[in-house]
Amino acid sequence: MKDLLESDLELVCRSGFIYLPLLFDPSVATEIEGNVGNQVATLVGGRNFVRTMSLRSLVGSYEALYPKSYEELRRSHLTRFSRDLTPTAPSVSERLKTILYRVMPHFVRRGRSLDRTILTEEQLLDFIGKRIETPGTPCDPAANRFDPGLVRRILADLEERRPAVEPAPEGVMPARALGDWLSKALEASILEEERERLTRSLNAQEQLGAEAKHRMRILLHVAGKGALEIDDFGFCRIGAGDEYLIYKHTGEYALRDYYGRLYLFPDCRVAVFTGGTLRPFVVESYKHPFLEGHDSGQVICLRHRSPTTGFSGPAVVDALEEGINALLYGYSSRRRNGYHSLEGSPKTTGRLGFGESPLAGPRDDRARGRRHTLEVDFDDYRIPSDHAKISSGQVAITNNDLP
Amino acid sequence: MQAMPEAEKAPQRVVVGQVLPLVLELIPGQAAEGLIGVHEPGSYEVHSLRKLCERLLRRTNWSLEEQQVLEDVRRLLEGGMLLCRGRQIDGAALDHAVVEETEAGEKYFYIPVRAIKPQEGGATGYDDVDHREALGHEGSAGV
Repeated sequence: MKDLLESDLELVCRSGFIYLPLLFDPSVATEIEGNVGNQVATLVGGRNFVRTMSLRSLVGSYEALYPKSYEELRRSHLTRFSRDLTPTAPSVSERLKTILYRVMPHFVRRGRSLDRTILTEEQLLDFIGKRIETPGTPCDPAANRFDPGLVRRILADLEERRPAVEPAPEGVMPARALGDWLSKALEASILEEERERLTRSLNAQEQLGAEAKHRMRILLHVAGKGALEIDDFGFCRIGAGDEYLIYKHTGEYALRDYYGRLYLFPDCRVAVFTGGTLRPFVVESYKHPFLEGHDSGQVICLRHRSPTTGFSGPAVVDALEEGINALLYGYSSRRRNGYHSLEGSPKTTGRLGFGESPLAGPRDDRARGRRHTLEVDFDDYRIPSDHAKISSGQVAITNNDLP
Repeated sequence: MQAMPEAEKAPQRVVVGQVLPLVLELIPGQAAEGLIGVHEPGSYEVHSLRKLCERLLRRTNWSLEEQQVLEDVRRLLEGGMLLCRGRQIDGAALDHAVVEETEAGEKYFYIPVRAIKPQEGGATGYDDVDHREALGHEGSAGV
């Protein structure tokens, strides 16, 4: 439709609907003959036009149909009206809320309390507030992020310069003319939407009590910073968009090899990236029997798992859990499953020890093509069985009981 | 905001002769918290950890939220196992316990038991470069 509206094709607008020209074809003419006059088709200047979508739907659905184009328009119109508009408006995306309220509670322990009731969003913000540097100090930009006086000025500006909404066009016209009308209608719609949003925010802010204002500050502080780490869970925003790297530390752990010798694996972060398939990978440069090489960003081998493409709290939790499970509880010293075995016994290229199942095993052709594959050894991770961290219980041997 | 992974805290070992209540927590997977079972002194000493776990799993008076956690634990146990700091839960409960303290300073024996369904590894799937590009931008958080 966007391309159409930039063309010189003639179309008809009538009663708020767009009518597009039909082919000059006798069979088409016969088919629509009974419909001319009943608003499904119309005859103008001897040409048949058929009703398509309503102008109102086009304006209303533009954001869903062309999200990138809509965002560009929104940015350009809002910037034109007020340079400070976007940063002043509190913006906490649904994605960030999902991470804070649905993912983080799964991985974070709330101190020494034995209470296990699920925390409300307010309680979670209080919890975060206790665990991070308290926002609200004069040097903290988040504290002044929402300035009611400034928002009122912007609202007045928007009101004063509100563009007049032109009535829907009528009659025959080139598509380009309809495109011009659509641009103006979208501009009016974007500004009206922003005005309503700011009014709602202002009202909500004015109705908040002191506690709620403090929570709002915490939320805006996290949103502004785009990153948070509590205990061994964390996330950070990537770039200027709304995509995040969500991670959990594994902590140190030890694995046992075929001969009973121990290998101490360092802590690493297992992460998923919200901007793609939810596939767990290691953030740091890391080596492990389930990783092809010794590099950062390596995807962890998982069995019986279809990568999830849609973002949701449970999907993120599930992907992180599976990734950590694979590193800590996946390697069997007896079966030596994985790309590499801990004791470094050679493996046949193309048979990487994941078993006989056709579902199992990395895609061997790809693996063969990579320079790292089968060249990783773990000798530097070897520790004596009476290592202080093992005997004190500080580090657990996590593959002791795997079949 | 420095990370403090759970495994890095050296547990305070049980001192023989201490008489304290025992708190058993059944945790699904890598979750931070799970189902709590509290045992008074004298009620748990003769039982194995496995027995106490089985008893906790048989309990029925859970809240709706706890029932959800219980379902998660049961789901993981289909093909999974109960592990306490990487070890099977055989032996006496106290062999696995460490001493912890409530916020009010009351001491108790604590045993975290995780329901783990081992992930045996398999396919990495198709190459997905999105996350590698993201790693290149990791330092740009908060833009």
